[in-house]
Amino acid sequence: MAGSICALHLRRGSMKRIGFDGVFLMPAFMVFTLFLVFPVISSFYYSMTDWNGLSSSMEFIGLDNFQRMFQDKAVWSGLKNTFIIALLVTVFQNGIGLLLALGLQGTGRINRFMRVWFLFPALLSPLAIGYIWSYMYNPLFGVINSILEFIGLSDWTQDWLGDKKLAIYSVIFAIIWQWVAFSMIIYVAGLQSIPRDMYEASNIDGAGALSRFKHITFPLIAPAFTVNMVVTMIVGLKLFDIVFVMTNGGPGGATENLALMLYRQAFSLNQMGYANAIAILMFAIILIFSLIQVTLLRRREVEY
Amino acid sequence: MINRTKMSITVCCLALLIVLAGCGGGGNNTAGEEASQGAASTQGAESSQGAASSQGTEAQVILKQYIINNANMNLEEINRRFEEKYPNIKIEYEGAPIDQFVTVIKTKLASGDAPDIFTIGAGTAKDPFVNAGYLLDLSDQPWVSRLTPGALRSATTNGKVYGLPRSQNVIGVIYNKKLFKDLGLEVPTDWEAFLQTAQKLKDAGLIPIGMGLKDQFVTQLVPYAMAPSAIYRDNIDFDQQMAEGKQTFVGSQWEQMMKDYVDLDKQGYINKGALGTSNDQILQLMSAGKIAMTVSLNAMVPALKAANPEADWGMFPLPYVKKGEPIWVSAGPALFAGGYSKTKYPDEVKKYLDFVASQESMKLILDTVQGFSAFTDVTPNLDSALMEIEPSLKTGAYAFLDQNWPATVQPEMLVGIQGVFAGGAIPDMLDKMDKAYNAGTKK
Repeated sequence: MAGSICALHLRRGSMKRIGFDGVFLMPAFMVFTLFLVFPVISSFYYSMTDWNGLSSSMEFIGLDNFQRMFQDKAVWSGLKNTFIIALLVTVFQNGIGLLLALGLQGTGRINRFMRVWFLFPALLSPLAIGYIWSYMYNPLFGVINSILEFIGLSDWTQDWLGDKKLAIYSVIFAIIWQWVAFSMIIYVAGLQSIPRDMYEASNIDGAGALSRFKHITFPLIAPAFTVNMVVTMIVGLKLFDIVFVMTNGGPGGATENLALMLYRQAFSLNQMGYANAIAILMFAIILIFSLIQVTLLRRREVEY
Repeated sequence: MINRTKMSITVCCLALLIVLAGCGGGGNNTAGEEASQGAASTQGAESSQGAASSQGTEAQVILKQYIINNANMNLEEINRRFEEKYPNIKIEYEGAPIDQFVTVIKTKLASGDAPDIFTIGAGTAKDPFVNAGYLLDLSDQPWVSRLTPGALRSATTNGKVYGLPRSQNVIGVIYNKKLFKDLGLEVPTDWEAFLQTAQKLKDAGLIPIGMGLKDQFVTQLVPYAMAPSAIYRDNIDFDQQMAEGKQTFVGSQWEQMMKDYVDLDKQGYINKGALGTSNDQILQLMSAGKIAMTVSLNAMVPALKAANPEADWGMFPLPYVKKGEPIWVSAGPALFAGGYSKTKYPDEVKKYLDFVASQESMKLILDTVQGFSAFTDVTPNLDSALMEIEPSLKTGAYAFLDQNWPATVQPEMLVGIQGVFAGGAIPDMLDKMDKAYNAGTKK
């Protein structure tokens, strides 16, 4: 690493800069290594031990944790929940975010106001959002059931977070509600960077709204699309806080994803080694999916 | 221009300093250990100077204290009194909510930055800490002989005492006395009568029993309240038999207990949508007079009082018995704290715990938390609601069940009960608990 930096600078013939840059890079590099790279690497080691998180002694047990993980039904259901959350959040947050961006991309006062208005939930802590939504979803006095009853749809009232089949979708809805404007803002930035003359030219050529979107807007916001897709998918895969507050994985494990399972294994079951194995699984999944997405999406980005 | 040069030189120096400081940590000790030692020695130097100037020769000792602060126990006052009595010892208190505490204490212990005094769990919950050699042996302390047998059991592992008990928590039925009076209801003393009472409350348009099963810890309260009468009154050695592998959850009284528990829901005695309701939400509905009863811990009574000072609350033991049989109560000792085995000041730590164990301090804690005494010679001033259940404790009591289980069982049970309420099968849940029990005793 250091060698390549030196070579680069020597070629430019500026010896003075090496020391100078190095001084500025060093603290960040060391902090990064000490607090991120080192723990990540040691996590690989701990995943092959039976460490309980407390005792000073542990045994190296090779791949036993991984073998156990693939036989553990709870891990498979956690994996399923993780994918459901990631898929639905990615699809809907981007779909709705793009629609909102198209509607509110103008620079007028109302557009600007509405954009800020939609962004409010993203500014709040996910924990606060979780509490607010668990009150709204409450089956006894929650506002959602109350409204349904008020407008005569009492058959539609549900135990939103207590129903095994519904709970995960209720949580996903709250997540999308919170973060949709975040995607919207990135799309708006992408939309506003499209040169106006492209649209003018297409107007002269007689293109309709749909073909304008298909041939100009969508290809040109590809960078924003890449960022949004990758970010929402990663967030969806490693989601923790809002699920922790709203259901804590319940009822009976129906909303437990890998992140919650990891936490429970590590801190309430004292299975630090096993928890690390789950963390490695999450790491692998997120890495693979991000790489696939980035390669596929980058391919369709166009230069203009 | 000169200013800019000066600035960059200063920044460079600062950056270098940070780098050097970072490198310095990589010596023989781990970075964390050295940092903490460094911090301790500078603090020691500072305070000893302070002590020298104000009180003369005695050097000052600082004890770091890390305590779960979910329930206020007026620790500030106790620490103030202690420092007044022992001016050369200073208590550095840090509190944390329970979830945060369990995560952080492990990191603190592992990094060598452990507090001298910290909260420990009762029963088997403290065993991993004992086995890792983190806890100070307190068996020779004078207060040990004053403990109630149950409290002593919960503070002991392998015949040695590792924690100072604080109070006994009790699970029972907390009820709205006014609603009972208006409907002419008596406190039920057997299961049949309990169900009839619930039916009458339901007929009156009230929610008979409020349970916030969305919070996992709530799910266990009913079986914990049932088990002392259903299992331990007639077979006090049940846990011993479990440990020896002669007994399993499957095929035990647990099957009937769980069935009766779920039946409360099926009969409509528990609030609708219990799995989607949290304990806080139940507390609100109860203080608003919409719920007549709940099965909960004694700590719920002060919380209800705070939410609605007007209402009149009572507490009785869950009568999971046939007519005329004695009712046993679920009473779990809670520990105040233990000492760190590698503390530099073991004598001061013991002095502090002895001070907290004094009748005066204990009474202050119990009056504040509204808990039952863990000492034979301390009688707290309790709310009238709690005094109502107090005599039942003398009939017979058994600890919270997880205090005698391996740590693996309780999390499985909490998830399992939610699963059963969501339509799962009871034998499956009990089977998983048995498996978790075996997995936990393997080592």
